[in-house]
Amino acid sequence: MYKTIIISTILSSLLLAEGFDYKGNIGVETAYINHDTVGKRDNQKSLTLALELKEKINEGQFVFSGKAILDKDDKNRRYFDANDLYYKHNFENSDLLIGRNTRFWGAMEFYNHTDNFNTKDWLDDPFDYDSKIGAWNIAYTHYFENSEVAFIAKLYEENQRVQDGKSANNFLPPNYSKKLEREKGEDRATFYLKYSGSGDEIQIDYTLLYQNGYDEQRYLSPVKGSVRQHAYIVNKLMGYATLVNGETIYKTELAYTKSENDYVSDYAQLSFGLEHTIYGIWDKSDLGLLVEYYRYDAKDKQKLGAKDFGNLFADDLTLGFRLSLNDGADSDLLGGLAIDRDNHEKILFIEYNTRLYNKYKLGLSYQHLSPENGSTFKELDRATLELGYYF
Amino acid sequence: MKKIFLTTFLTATTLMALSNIEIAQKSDQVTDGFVSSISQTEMILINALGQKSIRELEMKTLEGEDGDKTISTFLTPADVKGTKTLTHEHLDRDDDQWLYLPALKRVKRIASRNKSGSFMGSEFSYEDIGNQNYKKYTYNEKIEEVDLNGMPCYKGERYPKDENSGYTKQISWVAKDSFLLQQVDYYDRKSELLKRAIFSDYKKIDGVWCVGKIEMKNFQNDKSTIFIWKDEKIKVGLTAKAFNKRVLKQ
Repeated sequence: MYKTIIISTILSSLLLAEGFDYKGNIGVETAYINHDTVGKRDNQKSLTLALELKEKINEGQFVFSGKAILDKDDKNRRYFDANDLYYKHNFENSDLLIGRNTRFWGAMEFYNHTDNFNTKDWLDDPFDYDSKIGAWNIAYTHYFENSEVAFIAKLYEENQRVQDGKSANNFLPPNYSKKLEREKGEDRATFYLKYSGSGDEIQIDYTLLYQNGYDEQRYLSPVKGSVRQHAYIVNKLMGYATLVNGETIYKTELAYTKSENDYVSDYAQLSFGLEHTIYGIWDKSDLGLLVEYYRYDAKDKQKLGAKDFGNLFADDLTLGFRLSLNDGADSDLLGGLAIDRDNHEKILFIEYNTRLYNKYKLGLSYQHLSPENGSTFKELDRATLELGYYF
Repeated sequence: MKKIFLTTFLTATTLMALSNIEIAQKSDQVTDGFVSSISQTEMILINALGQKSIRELEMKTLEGEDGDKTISTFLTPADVKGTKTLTHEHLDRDDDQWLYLPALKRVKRIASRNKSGSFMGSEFSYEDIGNQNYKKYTYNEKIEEVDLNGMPCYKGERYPKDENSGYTKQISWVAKDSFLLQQVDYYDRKSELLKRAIFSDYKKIDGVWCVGKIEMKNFQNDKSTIFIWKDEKIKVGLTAKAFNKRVLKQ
């Protein structure tokens, strides 16, 4: 109720203000899932709304962006959330942000070990790693000519809500409770020190990060008859970089996490890959070829590791392509094969996106999960259709 | 006496005749000097069937000795609103180029060596929309004086120095009186005619000539793109800070 009042007040102020900038979309999403798990739905249908409002005030800017989902069957999946609700003040060589927002950290295309600022929005789609829950934080960033340094204090760890028990996207026990157990309490902030830069003569972008506070991944443990996520304290060093050489982009992400929790092992994460583009392969079409490898290694095998956290990228190779047609509708095709060497399965995926009549966007996708001996998953096909009107 | 006059006249004519490179340099000079600019532009993409799709962009440019800096922000279509590209051109090495995707809040580095890639799905390539500094080309000595739609022009050939250019040859038509570029024919890597750009609607703003419209016709796929500058302001006081990666996320 309190959250609704705050959001409504800020929204009204933005809408009443002159010269505010807006954009958004309203759409339908439908998914068909072919599986043989008893008691799970084989389809998901929903209406979606996304809205962004921006209002510039002298040297500052108010930003609101929210999303709403209305699922036909899943009552849990009928919600509204404000991922961005912040004020940013721009100074000559720095800025200060106060509020709730999402951030992107990383270099890889398909999955980012280092993109850990926000809790992922499993209520929307647990397999869409770009779907996130905004985090309340205060951030100060100072800019130099070719680099920047930021200090960020994340003030609160979000609960992770999930789709209902009949959803094929819910892998948690039936007695899962969304209430997060925080090892050091709700008031313990998480701090980040981030340095990013770009090369002068060499086409390189790089970022180094130090984190102290709650880790993004959480383990499950029973509490008072329910199963809850547990957030624990870590010290983490991360880095990611992209380097361009000719028509090839080389990428890497690295992280080392020292856990302060007795159950959780220290762990290292590594990913590297490349993207090579062949221009004008047919008419104006460009073809990008992608190869990416991801690794997660726990130091102490007796303690909790990747599988216990549901991390699917412990020893994975992805081979993919992106065909950009460069037509008036900005059509593109993304596809590939993900080979999960740790969980013994292969995932074939293909996505097609195009614009219709200048205002509508159509997205089609198909995934086939093929398990091998030793996999915890069963064979599964998933086909989705998204159609949105953009304004 | 008659012979001396004729010899003097011919020598003076030869000395006054402009070479292809001098024409290109003068053509550059009449459009240079804007220092920095902000323009609202419209890009009309027309496919082989005549169907149109329109994109609106805000473009900010800063002139530089080593190459221009440009930031382009998409205003329409609505699904790409807020998408930005930042380009730092370099005359002696590959350009630096970044793309900002607002939905993901992600800044991505783009490989920029290949200049022939389509600019946002249009018939313009990245090298077409970049700075057309005359030093980027070598020139054929031969120059013709021709009429182009009734306008006296210098017609000459130039060849891109950049080995990653999508073109082997360009033929340019430059107006004799104003030195404004009127038309360019682009020949592909097989030396076949690929595209023709027609430059029009020039406006003189603060003493600098600015092109108002470029129509690019692709002869090989029958598609065309019209680039229109709807509102352009020059010498607007932008500095290098306005072309820092910081502005992509603003």
